[in-house]
Amino acid sequence: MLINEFKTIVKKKKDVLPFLKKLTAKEKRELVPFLKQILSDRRKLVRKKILGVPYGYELLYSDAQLFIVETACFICYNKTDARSLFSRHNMMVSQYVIKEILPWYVPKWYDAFINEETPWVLRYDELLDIYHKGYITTLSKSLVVDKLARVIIDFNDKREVLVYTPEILWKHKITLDTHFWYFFQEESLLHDYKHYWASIYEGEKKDLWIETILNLIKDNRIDRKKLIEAIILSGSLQFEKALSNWFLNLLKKIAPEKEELLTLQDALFVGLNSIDPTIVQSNLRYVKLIASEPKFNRSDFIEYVSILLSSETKTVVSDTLIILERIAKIETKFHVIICEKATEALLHADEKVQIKAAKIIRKYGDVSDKKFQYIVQSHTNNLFNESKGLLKEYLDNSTAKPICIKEESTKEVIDFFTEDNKLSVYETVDDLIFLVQQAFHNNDIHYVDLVMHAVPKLTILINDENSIKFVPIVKRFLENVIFIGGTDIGSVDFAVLFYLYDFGKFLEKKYPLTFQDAIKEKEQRIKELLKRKASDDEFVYYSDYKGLFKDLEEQSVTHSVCKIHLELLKKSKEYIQSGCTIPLLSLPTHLPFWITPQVLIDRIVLYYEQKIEINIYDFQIAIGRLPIQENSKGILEEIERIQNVELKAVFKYHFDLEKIQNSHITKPAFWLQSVISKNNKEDSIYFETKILKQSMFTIEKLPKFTDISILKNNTLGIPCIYNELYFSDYFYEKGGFPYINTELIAVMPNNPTVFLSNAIEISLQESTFSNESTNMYIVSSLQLLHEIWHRYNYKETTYLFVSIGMLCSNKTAREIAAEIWIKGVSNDIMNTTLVGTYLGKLQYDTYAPMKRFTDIIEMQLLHISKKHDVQLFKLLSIMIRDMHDTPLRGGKKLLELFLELKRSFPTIPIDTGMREKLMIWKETKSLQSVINKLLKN
Amino acid sequence: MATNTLNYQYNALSSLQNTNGQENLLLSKFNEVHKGNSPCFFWGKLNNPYELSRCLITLSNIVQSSFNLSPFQLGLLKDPIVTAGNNQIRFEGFSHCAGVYARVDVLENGQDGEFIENGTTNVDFNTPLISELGKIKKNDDLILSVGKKEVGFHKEGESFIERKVPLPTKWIKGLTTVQHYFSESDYALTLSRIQALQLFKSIPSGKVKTDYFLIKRGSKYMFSPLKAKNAVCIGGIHRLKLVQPLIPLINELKIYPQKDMQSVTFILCFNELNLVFSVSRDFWRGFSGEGAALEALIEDLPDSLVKAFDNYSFTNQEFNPTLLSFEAGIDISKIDKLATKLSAMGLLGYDLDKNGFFYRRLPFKLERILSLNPRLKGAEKLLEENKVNITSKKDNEIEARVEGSGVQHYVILKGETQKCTCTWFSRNQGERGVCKHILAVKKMAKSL
Repeated sequence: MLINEFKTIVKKKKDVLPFLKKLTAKEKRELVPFLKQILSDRRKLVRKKILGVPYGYELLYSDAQLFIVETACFICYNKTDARSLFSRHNMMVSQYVIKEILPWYVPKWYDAFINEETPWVLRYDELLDIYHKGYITTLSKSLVVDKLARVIIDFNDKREVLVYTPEILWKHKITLDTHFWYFFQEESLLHDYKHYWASIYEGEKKDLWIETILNLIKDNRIDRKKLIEAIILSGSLQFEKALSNWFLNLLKKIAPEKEELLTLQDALFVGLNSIDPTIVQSNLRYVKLIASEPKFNRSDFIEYVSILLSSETKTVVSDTLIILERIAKIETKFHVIICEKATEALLHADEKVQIKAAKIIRKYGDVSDKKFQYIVQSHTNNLFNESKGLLKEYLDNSTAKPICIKEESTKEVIDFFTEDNKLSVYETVDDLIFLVQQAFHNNDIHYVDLVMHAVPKLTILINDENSIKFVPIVKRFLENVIFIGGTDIGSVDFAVLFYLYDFGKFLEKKYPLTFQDAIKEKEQRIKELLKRKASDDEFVYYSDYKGLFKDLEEQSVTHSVCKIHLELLKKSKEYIQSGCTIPLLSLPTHLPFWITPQVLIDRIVLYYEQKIEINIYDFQIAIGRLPIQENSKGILEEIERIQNVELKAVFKYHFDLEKIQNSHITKPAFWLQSVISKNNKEDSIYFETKILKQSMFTIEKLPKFTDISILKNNTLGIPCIYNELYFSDYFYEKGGFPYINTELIAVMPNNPTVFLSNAIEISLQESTFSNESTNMYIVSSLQLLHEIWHRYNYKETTYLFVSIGMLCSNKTAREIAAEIWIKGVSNDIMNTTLVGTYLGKLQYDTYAPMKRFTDIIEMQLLHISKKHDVQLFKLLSIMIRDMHDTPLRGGKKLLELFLELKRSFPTIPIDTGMREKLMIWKETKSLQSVINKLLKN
Repeated sequence: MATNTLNYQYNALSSLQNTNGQENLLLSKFNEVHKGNSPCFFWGKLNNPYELSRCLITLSNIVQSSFNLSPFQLGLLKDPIVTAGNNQIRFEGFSHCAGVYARVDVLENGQDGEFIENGTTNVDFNTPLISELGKIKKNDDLILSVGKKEVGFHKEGESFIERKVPLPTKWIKGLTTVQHYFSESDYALTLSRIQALQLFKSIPSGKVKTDYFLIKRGSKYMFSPLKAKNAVCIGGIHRLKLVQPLIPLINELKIYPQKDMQSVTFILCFNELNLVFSVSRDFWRGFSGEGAALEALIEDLPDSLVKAFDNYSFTNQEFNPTLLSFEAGIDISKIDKLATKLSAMGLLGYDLDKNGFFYRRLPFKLERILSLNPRLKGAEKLLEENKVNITSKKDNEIEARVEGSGVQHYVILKGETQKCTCTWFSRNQGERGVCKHILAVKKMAKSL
């Protein structure tokens, strides 16, 4: 009955209000499902007909009919339904609702709805209207500020222009008495009106709200002091950055007087705790204005000093020290506490800050106070020379030994093989189960090596009884392979999954009874998959599933750089099938990728004893993992065990026991890695010109930044791992690039330079990395380089990469590059000249902001030990020498740091090239002072 | 669903008001579990108002922070909880992502007041209150009231503030797990304020994805991206910036890494006031998903014993293993297991500084806490459905087959090692607690 009546109203588009007015609460509820049904059909199309003949489509309900339905919804819906329908709907605050409905019916949820939804079309005066009429009983602060912020502009429909309407602000008493102050308590868009002034007043550049507020003050419509206090206190509310900056700007325009500031000290001090340095800086500026006034609350301010002096913002620290000095000048009773606080500024690795603090301590501190003396001395290691000079009286009696300069760091011995870095050995079937099941989840860079070795070795332990344990794993191999297309796993992982899938197939074949059910299930699964079409969601990579189930040998691996691993996996698969348990030669014994000479020789001996052919890739990787320095006393005896004469000679050459020129070389492929590992120019030329005689490569196939001449001279006519890398595809393709440097560096830890080429190329394009993959790629490459860094005579490009690392945008990368330098210097395996040269060359054309490098010096490189400081002195001399004649921004800081080192080593002369550069740079006024000091020293 | 919503009903807004030159901090409370009758837990003076205010502001920043959630999820409000008892007041909370835990401990001499009743409760932390806390100065008189002392002030039973928030499941799970990690953490070192300031200066800017390690170079401590032997490892190091503003105010900083580096805890020590700050293994991992306490929950304890313990500890406000062992007649060797289980049930907290548990019953229903462990429920279901088959049991070695979805999983427990062939285990390698299959096998093994 009720519904029919409503249907008629809708159909005939009659006035719905008389019908709605008479509804009881129960009837309203009854109507709701019907209303919902209509609304769900609102986009439904029906055939249009003329004279009974269909000719097109139209919507089931017209706009007028839907309006009737929505009006009914407003009356009948509960809060949840209303929210889903009317959210962002203009109807809620339309004149129709306000004038025709609300006078006789206000839904219970209307108040909350308006306050929570803050409807955009509702204007401030309309809001007050519905509030005053009692349609809503609360006005939330967020609602008020949202509406009030827009109140001072209006759009004149007739003239089609914006008009400035500040008069609304004083139209209602409540506005300036209460609502206006909500702006300082609740986040708003006050700052978003800065362009309107220009639109209204033809290009005048003023902020509309700032001008309005200044006028309100001028006309005495608001209390100036109350306003200043409200602005200052708003700083502790952590508003959005743009808004809080706008408030600071407003305060600046208001320009509080000293007297006003003195009455608002508490509010100013509260802001000093803010986590926003801009607010702290602003408040401190005002505090500085009143710091010398008698009414300034000095003791309260001093409470905040520790927080201020630990700020990362230099101005905050400097201003605090200035205020402290002003207080110290006026009141002697604060000298002790001020000096104690000033010591906290000595923590900053900034010479100017330290000097300011040191001057306060020197002037007002009590040198006879033992406790205070100890506090100052505890900073000794952190002090710049000039600060030390200022605090000499405190430091002369120092019991604390400044580690930075006096300590001579001793050379550490790099031990490649310890118990700590020994790789675990897999011995049992259980070990195998839990190793192979991690195919998707093990991020260990040795995983592929371990799997290739452990699977053939342990497969022979599998029998009818324990094979059942592999059923869930083999099942997962299938799922992994199916899932493979939708993942972004690296290409090496890709190959491993195919390998393991084949291992599963091997087990199924060997233990048909155990896998009986699993095989059936698998066949069914594959059958279903093969029926699927390419549009299925999980089907991303492959054009059909057939390809996925092929054998490893038939798989095409996406990136040819993984071919080396693919080759080894194939070899390992052969071992599984033939029951060969002999390990691959290249299996590392110690982290990160090293192999002990004894173990490698054992393996080679075994290969010869069992008459197993050595895979040349396997051998090349293995010998690339043999540290060239490991020529201990017994090594010759070990080498003598090798049956093959030429291999024996290779090992002797590798360990500097024989010259390549005296060796009889029939298989250059055996020798190649040792020649590259040793990195000896004479040997390289000999090997290149006398041994390698045919050319198979074109120059495009070689990496751009490789300074290994053997590879550049296109003479590799022998089988070798580098043939499989297809550098032309890998290093020059910019898109879809596989960031797998770590796996490649693992192939040749003795001399990884060739594998850094791509990272160098990417970094040289832009020192600021824009995407996360590049960041991770550079960081992981540097991390690994740090781990394997063990010799002085790396190729130049390796040093270029370290230098790039020190300047790039990623702070972690910069820190690691700095650590490589520190490790190298500690062990006398760092060519500082090359690092300095590259840094100079890179900065010649402002490769990166100088601050990145000077920050690293201050935080990490300076004053580690005397040895490090001497090397840093050298590095900076060379770097500055090689930089452009026009000094860079940040060059002053670089020179100041160099001056700090020069003061530590006054007897070391400045390099002539650098001296010449300094004379040119001296033309720049801002550098004159520091250069004069340098040249004087 | 009703079970997924927690309905906070505060009788008033928490507030800080100045009366007669005295700052009165009222923390309005709400507890899902009613124990005792008094509307007020504590009323009295706090001795370090400035430091405490800064700590509470930091705690508020922590509970509002998130390191892996969307802005929508961030919008959900979380209130910290307060425990008053044993002459201490503890405020604790989690970040939204449950990867950062913080607890402010007001120690015995840090307050001078009356513990009207002992207990734990949610407290309302609203923005104006936090803003007012920012105004507290060193010499201010600060009176704290956890719950209203004057009952007549508001109408009985009527709630002034009602806030429905999705049940902070992550919090509740995290609160139990973090105690477990604490009990497995060892003291590593103490830094002076100067050393701590130097250390915190070395935190890199921005969101950091790589692990950092706490190392010492010369006399200076710093965070380095390179792994060093025995160095404390911190994942998501940018989270430490939450407490950086407090470092200039501390007396010293103590550091406690968990034994497997699954979390690191920093204790910021002030005068008679500590802020315990703990970060999970990585910024994208919450304590809630770690499942470290799961094994403790499979310990079978009779309900009567748990109840007896609860009543005993509620009265005494402490967890004294020796006394409990004596009074309840439990073998002292079992008390450790009991403590772990009870902390996993939300009945005990762990005090790293004192190296022992303390009684702190979470203000959530016990069944709610226990229902939040799907792996535990999964394990129980496996047992109910007879899907666990122990195939071999030797001295220190158990092998079992557990029926999974269309596949038999193989579980091996050998000394300290426990492994399973399921995907969960394969992915996490036991770092985030054991899988349901191992749990089920362990539970069954206990009954054999």
